[in-house]
Amino acid sequence: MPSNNTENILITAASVTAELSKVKKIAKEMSIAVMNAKAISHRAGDAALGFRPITDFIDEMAQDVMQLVLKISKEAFQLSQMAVERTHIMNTEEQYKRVLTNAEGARFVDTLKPAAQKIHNQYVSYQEILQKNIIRLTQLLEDIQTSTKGSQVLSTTSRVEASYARGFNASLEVVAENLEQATDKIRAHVKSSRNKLDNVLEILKRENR
Amino acid sequence: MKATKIYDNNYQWIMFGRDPEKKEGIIDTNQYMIKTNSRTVILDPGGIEIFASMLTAVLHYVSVEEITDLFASHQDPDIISSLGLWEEALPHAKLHTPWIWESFIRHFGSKNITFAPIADEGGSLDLGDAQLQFIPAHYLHASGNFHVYDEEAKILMSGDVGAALEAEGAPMFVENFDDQIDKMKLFHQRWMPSNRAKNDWIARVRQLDIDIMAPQHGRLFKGDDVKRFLDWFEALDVGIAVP
Repeated sequence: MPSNNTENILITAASVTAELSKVKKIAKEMSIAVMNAKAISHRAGDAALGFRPITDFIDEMAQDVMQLVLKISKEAFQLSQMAVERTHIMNTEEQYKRVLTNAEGARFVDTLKPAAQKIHNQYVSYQEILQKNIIRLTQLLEDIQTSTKGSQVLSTTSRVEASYARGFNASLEVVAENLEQATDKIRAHVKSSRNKLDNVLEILKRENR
Repeated sequence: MKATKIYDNNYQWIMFGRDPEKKEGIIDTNQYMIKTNSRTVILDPGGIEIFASMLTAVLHYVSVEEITDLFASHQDPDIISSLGLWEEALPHAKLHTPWIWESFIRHFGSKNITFAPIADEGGSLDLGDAQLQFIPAHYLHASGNFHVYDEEAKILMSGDVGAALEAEGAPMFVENFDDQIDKMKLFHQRWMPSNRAKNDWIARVRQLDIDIMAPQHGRLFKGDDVKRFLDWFEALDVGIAVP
């Protein structure tokens, strides 16, 4: 039923927002951990010289992710609003169809037809807008995956650089370890969001057929 | 939905109600339409649940282009929650409603319709052949509330005043006023909050020449039953939920 599809969209938009608030939290924690790592590498002096650009890079990645989360949350909110508007359009179309059937033979029934057609056109146009919005959301999620793609290499490099920082290597290795875990979690949340959006997109495409 | 012409001269008053398709548990409502040669207004067009039945019935009498105005006596859902559905078909219609409810009524999915707010003192609507007056009926029951009076047709559309909780398929007109009292008493005592507002309204309405008093629920009052109703209402203590 179309109304259930609307519920699907609303639930998906809410789920994506919830998943992304977790992503944002992880990225924030990453950013704080990086500040800590910068302080450690500063204290370690020349021994941690190679670690400093890595911390800058991690910080940049965390900031990128947080900005993307903000954008996606706005898009997800718009998706919810559009889903609600689409429900109104679908309800109106259904009601007008009922009138056109029930009022068959009524003297002025045909005068409703232009409005019914206009509503149908609005429905078609909303379907397109919704699909575009979902595709845009998917692309933004993909941007998060791309931003975090280098994290595994970064983590390995961090470990190597940490091993040079005598006396501080244990602390810096923790940073490397945390980075790997954090990005794994981010990627998992993003993947889950992506799957949900793919499902909704598929439902909308089926509706169009 | 049943349609009954209650005035038919150089323009018509048509009452719509007693909808057999209405879902169980939803209060039955009376909708009114005044159709002149140049304009048509629907008074209290009803809730979302009866929209399809109502528009189906209306299309037997007018085209959608002829419906130029809507009137909502107050903000209740059974009065105007269908607005979002109407306005898609009537992009050029105006909605006349108490000014205090405009931003509330917009919650009923309204985006495009032009609001024509009615000031507390009342107002009028020129439909060409028919001249309508918006009679203040504040606190009867809503805090911003209007009735519609047509001097030529001698009809007062009285909103919730005169309303009765009736069984399905009740007759259109009150047949025996005394029998009607039981159906109206609790409604008026519980829904109407103010004796002062009630008595002020009665004093003003007594000045009007009325053949038919047409409430939004239940049966219509004709002839002497209008005066009987005013006398009964005057003696009734309302606002009883406050001990």
